[in-house]
Amino acid sequence: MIENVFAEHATHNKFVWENLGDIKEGRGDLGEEMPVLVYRLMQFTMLDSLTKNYGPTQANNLFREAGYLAGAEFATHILDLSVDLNTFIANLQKALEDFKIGILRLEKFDTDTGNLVLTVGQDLDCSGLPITNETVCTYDEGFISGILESYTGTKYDVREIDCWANGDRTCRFQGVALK
Amino acid sequence: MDPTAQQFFDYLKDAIYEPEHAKLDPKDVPEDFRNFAKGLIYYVTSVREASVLATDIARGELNTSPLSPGNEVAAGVKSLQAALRHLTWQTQQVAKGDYNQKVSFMGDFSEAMNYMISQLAERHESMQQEIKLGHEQFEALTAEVSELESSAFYDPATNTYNRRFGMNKLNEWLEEKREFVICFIDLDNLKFVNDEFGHNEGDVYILMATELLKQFSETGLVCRLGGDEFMIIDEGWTQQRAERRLAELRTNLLSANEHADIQYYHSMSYGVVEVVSGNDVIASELLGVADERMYSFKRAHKAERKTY
Repeated sequence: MIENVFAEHATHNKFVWENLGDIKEGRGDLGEEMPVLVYRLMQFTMLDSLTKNYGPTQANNLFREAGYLAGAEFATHILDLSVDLNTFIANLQKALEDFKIGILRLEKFDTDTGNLVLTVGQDLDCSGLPITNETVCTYDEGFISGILESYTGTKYDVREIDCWANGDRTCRFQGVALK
Repeated sequence: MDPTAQQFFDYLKDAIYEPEHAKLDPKDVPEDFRNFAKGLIYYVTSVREASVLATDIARGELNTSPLSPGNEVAAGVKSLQAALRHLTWQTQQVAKGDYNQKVSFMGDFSEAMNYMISQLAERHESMQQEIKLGHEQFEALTAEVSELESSAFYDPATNTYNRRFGMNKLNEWLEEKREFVICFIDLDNLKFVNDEFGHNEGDVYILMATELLKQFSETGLVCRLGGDEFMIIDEGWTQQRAERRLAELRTNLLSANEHADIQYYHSMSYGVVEVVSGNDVIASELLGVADERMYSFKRAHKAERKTY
C-alpha cells in the first residue's frame, strides 16, 4: 500500500464531533433520518456483545460512559451553555424533541443543591420494550449527566428510578449533584 | 358451585368490595389451578396498586412511592402522575415569572397551557412597558417640578435664592421660634456702576459680591431681595460674630480696589439683627431694623467711598 502523506492521522476509534461527518451530503438520497429500529438494533446488539465479553455490570458501565461522552458533546455542539437555567431547560426540552430523543419533562429542581428529577417520555432507547423488570436506560443516565455537567460545571450522578422496561411507561431519572 | 370455583369467586368478590380481606393462597387450590391463582393474585394486586395511586392523585398527592416493579396495569396512572408532577413544576416556574417553558404532547391541554403562558408573557411585557413609561413620565414630571421650583425660588442671575424664598424662610423660622441672625447687605455704588459702565459691568460687580456672600457659611441662606440688596439668614450666630464675619467678607471685597486698573470703588454695607427665641416679632419689623443698621453703617463709612 502506498503511503498517503496527505491523509489526516485521525481515527474513528477516538470520538470527535467532526467525525460524525457531513450526513446530508453523504446520504443525499436517503436523508439524515432513519428508523428507531435501526438505532435500537445497533444499541442492543452492542449491549449483548459487551455483556458477553465483560458481564452485565461492566457492559452497563461502558454504556453509561459512552452516554456521558455523547451528552457532553451534544451539549457543547448543540446547546447554548451561556443562558440562564430556565432558558437552558426550555432549550434542552426543545432540542431533545427536535432530535427525537424523547420528551423531557422536569419534575423537580432544587436550586440550593442542584439535585433534580426529570422524566423522558417516548424515550429513544426503551419506549415500547418488553417488560423485563429492569431499568435499561444506562446510556441515557450517562447522556443526561454529560449534559448537566457541561452546563453546570458540576459532576452529576444520574440514576434511572422508573423505566418503561420496568413497566412504568415513562422513564424517570434522579440527578444528584456531586459537590 | 364447585369448591375451587367458589374459592376464586369469593376472592374476586372480596378484591372488589373488601380488598383488605381478599385472600387466596395458591397452595389451597388444586395443582392445575395454581398458576392461574398466582396470575389472578398478581392482577388483583396490580389493580389495587393502580387504584391507590389514582386515589392519591385525585387527592392531589403526587409523590406516592413507586409501585411494585413491573406493574403494567398501573402504567397509565403512573404516566398521569408523571405528567401532573411535571405540570406542577411548570406552573411553579410560570409563577416565578419563567415564561420560557412549553408543555408538549399533551393534546388540547398543551395548547391551552402554552397559550396561557404566552398570554401571561405578553401581559408581563406590556406591564413592564407601562411601568417603564410611567417611570419615565414620573422622572419628566419631577424634572419639570424641580425646574418650576427653581424658577419660583431662585434668582437666575446670581444663582442665589430670590426674595420670595427668603421671606418664606424668614417667616417659617420665626414661626418655628428658631434663633438666628438676619444680615441685610447692600452693594455700594451699583447705580453709579450701571450708569457709568453699563449694566453688564453692574452684573459683574453683583456676581463678585454674591460669590463673597456665599462664603458667609456653609449653612447660610443667601437671598437676593432685589437690585443691590441681599439678605443672609443663618442659625448658630450672635450679632457680633455675624458682623465680624461680614467685616471679613467686606475686606475681601475692598481688596479689589487695590488693583491699578480699578474703575470704581468696590464696597458693601450691612446691618445685622439677632433673633432670640421668645421675641414676638414679625419679619417686616426685623428687616426694617436690619435695614436701618445697614444705613447707619453706610453713613458711617461714606467718607471711605469714592468714585473713580
